[in-house]
Amino acid sequence: MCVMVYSNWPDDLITEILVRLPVKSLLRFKCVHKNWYSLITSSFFVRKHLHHKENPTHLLIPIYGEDVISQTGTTIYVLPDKILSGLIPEKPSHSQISVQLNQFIGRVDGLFFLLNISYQSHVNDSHRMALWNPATREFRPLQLNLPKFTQSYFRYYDSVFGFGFDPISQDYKVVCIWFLSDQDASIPYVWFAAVYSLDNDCWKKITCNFDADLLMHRSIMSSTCFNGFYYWCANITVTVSHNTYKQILLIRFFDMHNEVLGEFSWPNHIPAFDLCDLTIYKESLCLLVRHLDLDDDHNNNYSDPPIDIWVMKDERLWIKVLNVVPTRTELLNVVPTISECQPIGFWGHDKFIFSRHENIMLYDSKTHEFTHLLDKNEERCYSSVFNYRESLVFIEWENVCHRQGDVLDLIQDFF
Amino acid sequence: MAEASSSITEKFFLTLKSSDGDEFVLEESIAIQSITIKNMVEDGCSSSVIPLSKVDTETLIKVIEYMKMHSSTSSNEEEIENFDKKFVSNSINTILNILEAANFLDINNLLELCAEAVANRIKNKTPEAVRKIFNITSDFTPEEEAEIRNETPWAFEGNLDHSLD
Repeated sequence: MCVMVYSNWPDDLITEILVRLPVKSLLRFKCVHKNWYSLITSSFFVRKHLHHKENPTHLLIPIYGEDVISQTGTTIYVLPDKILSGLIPEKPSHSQISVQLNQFIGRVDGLFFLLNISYQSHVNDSHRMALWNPATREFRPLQLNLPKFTQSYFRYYDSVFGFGFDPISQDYKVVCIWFLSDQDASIPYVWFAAVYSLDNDCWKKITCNFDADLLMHRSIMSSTCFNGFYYWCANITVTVSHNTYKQILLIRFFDMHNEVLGEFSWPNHIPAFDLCDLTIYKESLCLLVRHLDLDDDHNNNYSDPPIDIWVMKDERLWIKVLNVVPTRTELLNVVPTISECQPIGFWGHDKFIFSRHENIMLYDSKTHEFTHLLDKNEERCYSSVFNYRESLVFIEWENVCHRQGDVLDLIQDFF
Repeated sequence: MAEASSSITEKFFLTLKSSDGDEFVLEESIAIQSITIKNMVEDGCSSSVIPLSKVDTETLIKVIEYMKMHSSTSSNEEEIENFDKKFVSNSINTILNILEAANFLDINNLLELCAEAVANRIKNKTPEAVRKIFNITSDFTPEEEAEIRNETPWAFEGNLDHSLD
């Protein structure tokens, strides 16, 4: 019998095993040996584990206002990694946070950016932001100290928040853009923007040259982070001439590495309806366009799909994707009107997910089947679904120690 | 004529020698699933015995069994699947030995199969059981280890597996 010498194994062979383990096991095996500890905590390993083919992707659906008693909480449902069409999945596991979050921006490497804004008060009092890694149960509140940047602008009129990964410096960043005025609105509204780096743990003011337009309204419709860029749709009102205004749509972006903001015009062949969602489909930026105007118009061709999917290729060229969404006739079998169908994302390449009043459904474009995924209260899912993978990405700072207690309680206390 | 037809059906054989000195004769087309052996053949080392000083007899038998199943044109997908399932039900030490051999011989699908099997076996185990299986002596002081455990105490909770297989 030979003596086992696995302790002398090269790192890459140990890595082959460890990279296939769930996060909880890896956190436990950090104490096996110093060599294992440094392997598991190395950024090389963290990235390899995150993108490994054996790390299952889960469909994650955030629903707001699900707390039965307070009608406020946020519930995050995690569906099993295998969803078979035609078969209602087992009741998904979920985490319930007893606070109303305005936004739950996520899907960046298994991390989530949690945000709660109160629309009444001073910027510094009204914003609560935090990062959360559900797999490692790490939670990191982000402090925002605006007066460090600006003394006079306090009232806030509108804002955009984004969270993403800078692939070049391997850093996670939060970008915040506000449209501000001073207390008595005596000076014009201005844009103000700042970016937070997780590595440096600090905020930095950045230049924002967007048109400051008093008539701008509701700037966020949807947003997504992709390939080091954070994108969102902006709906702005421009003055054509005296007393004449025009609504236009733009796609704005934040370059996570160069930390610059920019915008490009709406692709002119894509109709700009009220309901456009930015998401990701097949590793490309994707616009989901719902054709509301056709709803009651019987003159329209019923063979036209009720929803169009456009993906952006290089050089900002948009290409329409066919045969992924249900046809108008198919859809009308499950919803009374097309307007009740709210697209919220994709599962894999061939499954389309949408919400109805009372539940969330999946459409399999291969088999043309609809599958009920999840019950919900009426009209409370106004967020995209996420494709979630467990990640070991470390977000806590040494001096922010929140190891004790339940992380969900910590989130609740903070918000 | 006879010469021509025999050259078409002619099979090349290699002799592999384990660290225990046992020799195994194997069809070249099967053996070259191992990139290490393939490179040796291409470098012209195939005429003599190929010594595999890092692979013992017991392990080499398993590896050959695997290569035969995975190269055979007669075995269908279902057979291969069943074979793999049975293959990874060997003891964890056997699988670790095969994994090490697969790494040395550079047989990627065998390496993936074994790594996946080991990961599945150890994922619910205690750190103590993992140390014993891998024959590792902890180099942390008790204080250091307590500190790491204290970072994520929940990762050490639940129904953990103490067994060594």
